[in-house]
Amino acid sequence: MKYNKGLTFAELLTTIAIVSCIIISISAFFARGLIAVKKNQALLPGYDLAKGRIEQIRRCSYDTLIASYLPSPKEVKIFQNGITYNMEVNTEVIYRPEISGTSNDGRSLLRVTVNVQWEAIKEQGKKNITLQTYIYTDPLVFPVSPL
Amino acid sequence: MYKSASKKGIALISVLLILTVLVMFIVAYGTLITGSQTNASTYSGRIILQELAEAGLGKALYELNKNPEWASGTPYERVEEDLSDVRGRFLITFDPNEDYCSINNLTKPTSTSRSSKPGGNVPPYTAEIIIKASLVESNGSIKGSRYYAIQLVRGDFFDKHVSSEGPIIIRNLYKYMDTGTSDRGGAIHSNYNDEDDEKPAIKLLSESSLMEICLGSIRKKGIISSPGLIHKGPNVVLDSPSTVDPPLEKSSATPKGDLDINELISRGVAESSPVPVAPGEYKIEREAVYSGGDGLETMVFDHYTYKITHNGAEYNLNDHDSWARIDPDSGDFIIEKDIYVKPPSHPIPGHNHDIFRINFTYDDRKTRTGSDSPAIQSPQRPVAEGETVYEGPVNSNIPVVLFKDPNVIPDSYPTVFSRCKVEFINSSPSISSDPSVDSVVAPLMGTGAIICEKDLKAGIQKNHGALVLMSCEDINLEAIFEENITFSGFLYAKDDLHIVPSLAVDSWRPPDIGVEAPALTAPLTMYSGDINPDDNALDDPNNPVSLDINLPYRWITFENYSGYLKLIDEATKYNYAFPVKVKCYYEI
Repeated sequence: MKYNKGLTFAELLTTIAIVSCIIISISAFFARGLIAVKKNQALLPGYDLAKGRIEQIRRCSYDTLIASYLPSPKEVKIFQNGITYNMEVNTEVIYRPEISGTSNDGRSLLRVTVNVQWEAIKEQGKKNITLQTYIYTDPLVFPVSPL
Repeated sequence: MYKSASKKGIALISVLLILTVLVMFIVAYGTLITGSQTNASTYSGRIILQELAEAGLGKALYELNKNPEWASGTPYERVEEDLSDVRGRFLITFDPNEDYCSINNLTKPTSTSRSSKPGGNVPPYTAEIIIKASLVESNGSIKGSRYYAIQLVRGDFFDKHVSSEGPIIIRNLYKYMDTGTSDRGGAIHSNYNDEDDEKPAIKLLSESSLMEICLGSIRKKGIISSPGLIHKGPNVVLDSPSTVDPPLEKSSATPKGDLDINELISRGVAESSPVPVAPGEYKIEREAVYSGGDGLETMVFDHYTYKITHNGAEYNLNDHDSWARIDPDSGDFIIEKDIYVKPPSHPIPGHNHDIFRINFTYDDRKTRTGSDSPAIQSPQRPVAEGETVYEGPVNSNIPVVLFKDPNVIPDSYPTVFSRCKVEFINSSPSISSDPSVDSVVAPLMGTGAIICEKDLKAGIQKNHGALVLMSCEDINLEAIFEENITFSGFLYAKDDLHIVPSLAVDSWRPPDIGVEAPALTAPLTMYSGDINPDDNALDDPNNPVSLDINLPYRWITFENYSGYLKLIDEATKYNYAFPVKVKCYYEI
């Protein structure tokens, strides 16, 4: 009977040892998973911020764009979800509006590059994403809208 | 022995159980993490691809707004640009032999079909741009691609017959009919929204008789919409029993593109080299010439002679590049060429340089027996697919006619570009029944365009042609209802637009029982921009009006007409860079 009880305790120890080994061996996997989640938690808002800024620029008239974003780059700091995002907006005029006398046709094409940089996890260092697009501005009083 | 053996296996079972739970946990965790990674990767990839597609759209919009005919012909345009900072690229091809080709149909009155993928038709006066956005690996291979289709429409195309940025008043009609298109009912829309919610944006009123508004059918619901108040008077009935009641709806504002009339004038003038015409009043007088006989009693009418004075001085049309002529039989004033009316840089004292006025001093329009003036016998009228063609001889009061002989200049219509007010009147002593009125409007007929920087005033009467009338300020039209009127075209006033009864006709009374009152058939689009809300014709600050349709006892029937787009194109010599707007955007 005593022999049997001892065996059970040994078995328990063995079980704990085996499970511990397994847990320790896969803990790196869990850690990586958590880091990935944390990384995504910072990445997706980064894209949203960049896209949001591009949409904001898209609604501006040419004059506003020139006044606000030139000379490039323009840097902005945004604090969100406990992370500080450094946003850099580069604006380059591809086609300028045609100016005839005092009138300005307002039509222009700009290349806008938004770079967002942040540091969510110290071990990973700084991360950055870039969005780039062309933006057409037209002389309409109203922004372009669906009919 | 049996019991002891059972206890011995407990470690294995425990380990297996714990491992099972652990494996399940790990699998679930792994799935979640992998899913999260995949989602993040897909999301970021999609955002980059969307911005690449937006870049392509920006490029296309820039080109189309500069030149609406961009990429509409051969050689086929192919735009492929790399955006190196995101390792992406967009491609737009107009080659019909390639799959996913774009089609620019913005200036074409007929639809264009696509034989390659993804098939389908691009309707007249629209464009479909298909953009292939791709992510590129560092070695140049394509990592992933998506196709985006964007439907573009012309900013000068209005999908409603009656729309306004300011208040609309429709009053005293017998019937207002707008049954819409094949897929939707008619519509009246105003963007006016009084801050105090006191002044209506749309008023439907009838002082005495019943006014019926028909906007829909059983299948298609019409709509009267505005973000502001909509007021329906007691004598107004919505729809006949055979149709569904259109709802009076509050909706969000749907702003229209702002057409740049000044630019239209500048471009048109630069492109067509119109005949320069001095502003002021062109007064036309007529005298009968008789022949034969020995005395006055036996003299026989032979012909008319016409005399024109410009600001009181004798004026000979032939001396001024013959921009117009007077039809010797009828007395019509026919504008044959593109003209540009501009105040002189050195004004002459005493001369009125703010107006371009044609003033008839005779009111009996004579025609040879059995034939009308060729100018208005069958006015040319551009039509798009599926539109009604109106034909037939037209009689009228003495009109100003926009007309080019199609045998001489086919597919061409005259345009009046004016930096001054434009006014067509008749000051014949006998034309008005009201002695206090010294002149009434003269009708405008034919096919062409008047694009002016100031007010425009004219009459409408029995016109089977088509007219584009655009003004930076007001458009005042008076309907001369001696018979049915068919008025096609486009009325675009930056400020106010009024269609009211003419003083020349004194029959603004209920029709006799059993007699049908003259009607207005209107393949017409009208828009008022109301840029000056403090100025309106009713001159009542509590009753602002931007678009006024007041045709007592008359029946107005709206029909669809897209041909006015071709008219505008032609009027500005296909150099008209109309705004191009995005209608919808989707991923294929």
